[in-house]
Amino acid sequence: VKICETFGIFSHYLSQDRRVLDMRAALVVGIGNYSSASLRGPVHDANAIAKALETHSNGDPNFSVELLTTPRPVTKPILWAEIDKLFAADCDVCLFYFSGHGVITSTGGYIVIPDGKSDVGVSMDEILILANQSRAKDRVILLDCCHAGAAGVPALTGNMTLLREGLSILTACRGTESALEVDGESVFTSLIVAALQGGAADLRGYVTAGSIYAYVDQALGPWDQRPIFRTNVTRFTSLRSVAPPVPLETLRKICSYFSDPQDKYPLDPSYEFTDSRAKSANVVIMKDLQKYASVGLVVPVGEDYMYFAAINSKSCRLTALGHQYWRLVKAKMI
Amino acid sequence: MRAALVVGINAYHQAPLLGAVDDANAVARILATHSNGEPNFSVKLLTISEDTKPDDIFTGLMLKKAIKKLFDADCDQCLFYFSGHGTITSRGGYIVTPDFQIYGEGISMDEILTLANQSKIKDKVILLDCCHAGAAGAPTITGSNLAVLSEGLSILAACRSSESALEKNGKGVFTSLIVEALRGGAADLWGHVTASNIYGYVDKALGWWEQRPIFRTNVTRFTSLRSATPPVPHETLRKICSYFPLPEKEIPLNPTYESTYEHAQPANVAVMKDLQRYASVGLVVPVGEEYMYFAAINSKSCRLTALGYQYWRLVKTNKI
Repeated sequence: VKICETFGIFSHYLSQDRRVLDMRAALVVGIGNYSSASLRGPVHDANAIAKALETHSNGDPNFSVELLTTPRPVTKPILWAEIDKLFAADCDVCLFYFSGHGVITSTGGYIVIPDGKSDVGVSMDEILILANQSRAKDRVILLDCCHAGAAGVPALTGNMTLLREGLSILTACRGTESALEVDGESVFTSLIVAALQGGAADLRGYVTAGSIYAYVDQALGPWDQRPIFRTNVTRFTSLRSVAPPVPLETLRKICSYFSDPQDKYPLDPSYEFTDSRAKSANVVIMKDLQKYASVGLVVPVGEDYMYFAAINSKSCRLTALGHQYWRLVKAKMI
Repeated sequence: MRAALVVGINAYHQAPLLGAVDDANAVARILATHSNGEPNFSVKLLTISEDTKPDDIFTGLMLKKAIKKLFDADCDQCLFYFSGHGTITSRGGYIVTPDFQIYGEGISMDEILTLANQSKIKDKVILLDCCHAGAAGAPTITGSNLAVLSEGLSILAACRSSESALEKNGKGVFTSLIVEALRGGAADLWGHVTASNIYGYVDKALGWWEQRPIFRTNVTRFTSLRSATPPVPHETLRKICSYFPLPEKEIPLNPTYESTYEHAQPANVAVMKDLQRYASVGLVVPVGEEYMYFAAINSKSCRLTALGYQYWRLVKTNKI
């Protein structure tokens, strides 16, 4: 048992570090052809999400995506079978995305199905039950529909979430609100796609559910639809990785330049290659320091720009963010 | 109006702690003001150390009353911080007070959750740096399996309900990371530090072999807990839309933008200063060159990044 446990933790550690080995499944659904109120956006939205999730920015495979969009027939049994399959899958991360109509009734929120004349559709409470039962370590639900905010808050509990560890839910709007469409694209989804494309990436190039929500939250004002974030996690898992703004090899050198995080790195004109006193070894170092400065890890001391810090023989130091990455490198976590 | 109750307890008879009071002091200090010195949270600090006079030692009941008062307060945002011992029993998790006894361990984490869930305050934040802190938010009656949160509640806990929280050099590891995050380590370009940014910061800093911090939230907005000095002045940031009338359009550069060039034009040099500030926080990148300097000298251009586009849109819609 001990060995199995240790191996479990070890493979978990590996899968976090080499995301390619991760088993990740996504079900992406877009329904537009409602007979009474057809929508232009959902199919387009679902395609954009599927494309963003399929690969990391370097082309490595990311999610294995099942794309289900109209005009393919999407009936309640077809959609349920796919949702069931997703949350029963033996994978590390599973993600469910839906764009289309949503409705709220006295028995809770529903995803609306085109055939839903006599039947409202797929219950958000029942999706929550499956997501809570799933054995995947991380489960993510993204809903872009009206009344999406009903997801994660069962009608039974009134206004309380019920989330098992590892579940995160991002929705376009509150339980009482309508989601917006602009130019045939929904606002919420276009922000999520922009966030996945790198808008919400950290310096390692990771995009997480938390950073996506922060991105969407900032972009929508208090008068717009209010996106909702519900989570119960012990880690933020990267949903997609993009090229880090500073190469990781450069980032890893930060501890050799700053042996202590409080250190100031002294500069002088020999670091500035446009200066006649430039020394090639120092110019190479300065290139790295300027890269750090370009992402807010390092700031010049007593000057506004690194160039003048070198010319006027000042120094540079780590910022609070720089200290964070210094520690990550020190602990060999990058 | 923002209220914070910050509690740190060192003086437990059988198992005294070294760092809890220092942790509480540090959290109280960082929450009291924004980085520009403006008042932030109105902080009530309760600590018990070796030197605390017997009259000033509070009991579990007194602390529970203080917690109830916090969540009943007439304010927009409230925050509860606790550093000390935590324990887990068959009846759920408890934060431990010095008057603990068997079947009277302290204050039930489930009861704290109930008070927070019933509170009318828009944003409620609970920060727990104690062993078994992860029991908070997932009530025992659900099998400690489901987080039950009302809208506006966020919980950051130092470790899972099964784990112990670490102290290093007399400081709680979790708290020292939170204080650094609040100081500015987790700030966005606007200088705001939110609960999720703090979690992201702490999550990254703790590896898989250490305690695992927990984040539980149910929010419709991320409220800034503290404003740190923004890396780019707000006035400079607001000019981004005048430099980039269209977000996808590149700005052509030439040597007259570079202050060290002999034919530099002052107007262009001023523009370049702002563009370099944008570049220094990842809003703008040079095109075809690695550095802005060469983009100017070699008459290349610069463009907005994905992050730059986000701030462009925020400025365009007057959100910042």
